[in-house]
Amino acid sequence: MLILGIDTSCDDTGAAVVRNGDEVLSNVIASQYKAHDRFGGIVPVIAAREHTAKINFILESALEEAGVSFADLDAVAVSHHQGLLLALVVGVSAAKSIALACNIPLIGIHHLEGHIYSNLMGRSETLQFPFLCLTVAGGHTLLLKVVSHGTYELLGHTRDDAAGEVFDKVARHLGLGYPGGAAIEKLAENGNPEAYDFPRPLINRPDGEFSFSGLKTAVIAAIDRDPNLNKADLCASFQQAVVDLLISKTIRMAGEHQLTQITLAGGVALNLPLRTALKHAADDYGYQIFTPRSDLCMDNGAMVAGAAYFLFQERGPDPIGIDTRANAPLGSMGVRYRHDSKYK
Amino acid sequence: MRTLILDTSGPFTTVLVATEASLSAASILQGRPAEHLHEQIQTSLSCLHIEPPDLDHIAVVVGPGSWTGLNIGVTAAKTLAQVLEIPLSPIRTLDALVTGHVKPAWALMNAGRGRCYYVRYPRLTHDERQTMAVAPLDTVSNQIQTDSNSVTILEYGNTFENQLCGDSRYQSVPRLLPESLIATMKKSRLMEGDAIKALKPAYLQPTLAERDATS
Repeated sequence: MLILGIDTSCDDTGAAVVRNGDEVLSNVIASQYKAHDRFGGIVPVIAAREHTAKINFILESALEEAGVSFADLDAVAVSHHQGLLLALVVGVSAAKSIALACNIPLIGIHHLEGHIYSNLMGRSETLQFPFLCLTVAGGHTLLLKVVSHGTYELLGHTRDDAAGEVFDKVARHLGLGYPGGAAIEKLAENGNPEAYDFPRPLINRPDGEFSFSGLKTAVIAAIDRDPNLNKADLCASFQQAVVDLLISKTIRMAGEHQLTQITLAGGVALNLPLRTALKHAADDYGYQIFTPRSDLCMDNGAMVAGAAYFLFQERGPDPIGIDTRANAPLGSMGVRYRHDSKYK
Repeated sequence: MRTLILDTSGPFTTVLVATEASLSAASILQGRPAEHLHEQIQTSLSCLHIEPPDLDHIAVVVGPGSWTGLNIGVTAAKTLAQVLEIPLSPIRTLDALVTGHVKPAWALMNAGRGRCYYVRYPRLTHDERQTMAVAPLDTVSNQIQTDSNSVTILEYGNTFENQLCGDSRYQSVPRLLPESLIATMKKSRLMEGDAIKALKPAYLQPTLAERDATS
């Protein structure tokens, strides 16, 4: 089954062609970071404008790279829930036009399901339900028990900022530009992770809840206090605090829910110290770690097509009038993990 | 020749199918183009017993107008044209607004932030493509009030209603009419290939973030 996947949930215009949920024939991503760099974050109206300008070129490239045409597609999948509403509607409009013109099924995917399923792509034989998924990105930080296809239990989530968002805000305060995660990781390579004793909020609470706003405030205060600070030391210490928080809660929830397979998803999953620390911690407890391919960590169309392949078999196609929502519950059990007011 | 015409520039989502230059099917719904637009296309084609591959041409209103509505409508039209490999014609909102009305004419539309889009069309013109501009409401209102008595003033919406109430030259138009859209489509240029993919809505103003960054 050949599925075209489209993702325009935030600032990346992504389109990909995936065969049978596993074989990525193409995965084309147009990043908008240059358009948003001077604002230190994503401006939704600019994101929507850039998606509209690029989407048709990206679709063409995805098909060309895969060596297929629109007529060869069996279905089209799109992120229609969770993200920037102004941006989501562009991808959804394109996907609906393709479904209509080619007379093929339309499959709407919750953006987070795409990230979760990026772990299953190419590994559906070895990764078995139920498993634990730590999703860490610019808009989300949550721990989920993935019970079966399309069924999730929320074990914990952030009460305030997402981890990726904090990376971006600290980077902006240090003048490192946007996106901040990679810049901080690079600077941290030469820094001392124990130079600053930053707080680890909620780390001792026996649950899966996260909080990053106190850490963010402490880091920004440290930057403001000392204009001549050692940026490498600060970045290393800040990154270590985030990693400690993520790892401790993940390991705790895996033990409490007796989940021996742990997956990592989202843009922050690219962070090498996080991957390494999670691997070491999992080894200590005898857990198995699965991380997605690096090209499937950031927002992309391939993960949407991958998720669509599995979920289409469970729930079939969606109607051409599917809605688009910035903040939508996840999965068949209606997992809610952030307040509606967050996006208003 | 069958043409699909889409207008998502204002509070109504309009889908028309024109055969040659005559209206064959119309679907007009208020709001929510993200959900309704493609259902309206499907319904309009179904009632004519035709399929998308039976279309020969697509036309779309490119603005100015609702930012999100235009992104949805233009993306839908571009993608349909790309998949079906048929030409696409862009229609400017203000050109469609004045089509069929007596000239000289002012075409106006609220641009938000105390400004409006405007075009003044001269008496004799074979080409509707006059330069479109954006300016503060008061500036445009002053220019209009000193213009000749024979000029027609058309507004897409009713922002000027208070300022121009009692002016017999003024008409408020709540939505673009099917016959105006079809007539404007006939005069619009045909785009093909990469020009279709590169088509953008008519954003005449920078975003607030860009304006603030510049100032």
